[in-house]
Amino acid sequence: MTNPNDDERLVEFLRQYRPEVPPAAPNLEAEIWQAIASSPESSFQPRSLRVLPPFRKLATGIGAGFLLAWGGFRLFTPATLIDTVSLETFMVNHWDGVVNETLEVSQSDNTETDWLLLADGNNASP
Amino acid sequence: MSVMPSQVFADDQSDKDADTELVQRCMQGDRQSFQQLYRRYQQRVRSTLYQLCGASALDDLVQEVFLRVWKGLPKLQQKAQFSTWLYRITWNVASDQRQEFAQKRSQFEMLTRTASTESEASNLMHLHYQDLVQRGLAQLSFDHRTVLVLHDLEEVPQKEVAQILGIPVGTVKSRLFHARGTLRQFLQHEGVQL
Repeated sequence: MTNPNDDERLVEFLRQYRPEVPPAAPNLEAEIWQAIASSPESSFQPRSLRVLPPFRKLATGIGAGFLLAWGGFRLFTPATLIDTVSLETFMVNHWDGVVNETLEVSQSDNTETDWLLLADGNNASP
Repeated sequence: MSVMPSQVFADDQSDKDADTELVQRCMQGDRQSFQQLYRRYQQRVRSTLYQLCGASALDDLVQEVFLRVWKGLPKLQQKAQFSTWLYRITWNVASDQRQEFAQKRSQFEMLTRTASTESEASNLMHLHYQDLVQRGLAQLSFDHRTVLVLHDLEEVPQKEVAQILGIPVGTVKSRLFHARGTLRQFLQHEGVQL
């Protein structure tokens, strides 16, 4: 484990005797500006767009509101339709049920047959 | 004459505010503001690149850094973190040069020695120590040298070094520990008692 003082002395030594950085070429800065001038500037935001972000936020908010409203409409409207369809199905089933029940009742009703049999029986007996 | 890091490093709030203001103007396409940013940071970028890559192609590397900065400014999200971002680009440029640097290492060492011996200094001992530091740095791996240069020479805080390199702070501490140990051993071997 090294002593913190050793580290301090080492760092101080390194800073004191760090090699001097060679000077830049006299035309380096000019070369950099030339290279920058020839680079496309289109990636920077146009001046007019800098004003837009607040309006963009507002427009995004309004758009989101419309989407929510539309989504809500879509969410609730099918439920009403489903209710209507269910009601119709319910009525049809019950209507069929009523009709079928009537037919069954008619088919199982032997009153007329019994009456005819009774009438035949009366005619048969002298 | 080298510029002391404390003179150019944006370590207080007013400097960061000034950076933010300049960056915002640059993002509007203001080249004069970018010129100011260049003058604020070019010495520090130059110094870091020199410690990492040597003197050969130093001007080209500095130019590459500021070109990348100019092109990347529109994508900079956190304007207050400009200096961290700038160091990351500097490190990226240095890393890109690493392979070529490794191939020309012997040539680099010869050049840096020549540069040191050509310095106009009357104190031979001072020159000797400068040469030792340069050779000591060259002994380190690129990762260890990067951490040591950023933290010990450029005085970048460990947390910021971690952000620049995209590594945990613990790794920064570990690399710093090993880098200092290697340098200390080298200097002791060369007869420097610290």
